[in-house]
Amino acid sequence: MLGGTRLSTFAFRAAVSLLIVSVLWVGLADDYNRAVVAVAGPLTPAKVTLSVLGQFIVFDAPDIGPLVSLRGFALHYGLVLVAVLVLAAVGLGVVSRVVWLAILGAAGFASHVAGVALLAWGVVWAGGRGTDAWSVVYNVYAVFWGLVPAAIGGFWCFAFWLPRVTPPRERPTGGEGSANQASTAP
Amino acid sequence: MTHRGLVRLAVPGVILAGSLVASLAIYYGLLGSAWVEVVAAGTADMASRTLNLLGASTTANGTTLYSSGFAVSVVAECTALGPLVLFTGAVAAYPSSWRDKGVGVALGLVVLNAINVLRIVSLFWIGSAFPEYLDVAHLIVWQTALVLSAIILWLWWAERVARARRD
Repeated sequence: MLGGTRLSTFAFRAAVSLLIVSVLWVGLADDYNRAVVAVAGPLTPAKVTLSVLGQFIVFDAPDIGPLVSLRGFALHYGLVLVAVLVLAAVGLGVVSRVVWLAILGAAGFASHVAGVALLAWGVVWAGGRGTDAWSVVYNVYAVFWGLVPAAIGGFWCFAFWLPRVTPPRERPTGGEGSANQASTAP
Repeated sequence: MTHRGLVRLAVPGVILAGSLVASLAIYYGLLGSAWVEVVAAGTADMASRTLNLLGASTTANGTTLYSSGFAVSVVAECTALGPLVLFTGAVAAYPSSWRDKGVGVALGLVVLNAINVLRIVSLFWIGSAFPEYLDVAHLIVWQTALVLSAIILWLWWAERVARARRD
């Protein structure tokens, strides 16, 4: 695995990267929201109008129900998280970092477009169905924005980063049933 | 590399992915439950006690934490529940003994809850003193920091398990 020194380096880099990326992101957030809405707009049902109001993405469906808005920062944290992980990871070269930032950034944008469009469809579905339907929509969204980025970030660390910096003999492999078996690579 | 070799390398990733997906489903199932309300109220209470130890004058009433000039509502996403569920899924997926997994989960419960209380305390202070920075601090900085803490904690725990296995 990493060892104490590299883990400490990763933690320190992550803290510094988080502060820098967060400050930089504040200046980009509104434009990012507009880009998401511009791409997601054609994917939403006709009954819903998407717009950006500051950091909020607004779902206006007057025929269906109350105005729904979501804080853009709630979506953006996923991008910040994966960017910090890639920037802070020890043992990666510059080119590798840039490539991963591009891949994860593009995947993040695509997921945000899909998420906003699906939320618009959720608003249409829940309208007129009562509070239980709205709870389903909001809870699915809460899992999407809150935990999916964390799961993706953690999986990236395990599947792509750690194998690069872990000696083969220390990597966990399939077929291990208990801590008493040594992990060995083929 | 042989087919068997590829499978042996891919299996841990598949197990982790499956465990994380299961964790997402568990978290979804917990949202809106009465149990989450208890956790949220407990979080508000711990944050209030911590703030008062630091000289503030706050009260926790259920899931609401308030002072004379500021108030916050602690919802499910404000607890450590989400990161803790994912952390538990990652611990469960890593090849280790049941004892090691139990220690890992207990560690996550204590450490992630402590970090989350620190999060609530700092956000309450930021919301009171610098409200213009609250959204960034809440949704970007601390949300990311809490997940990073869970990842770092898991890396530390997995390192200890791997080292014990080698010794």
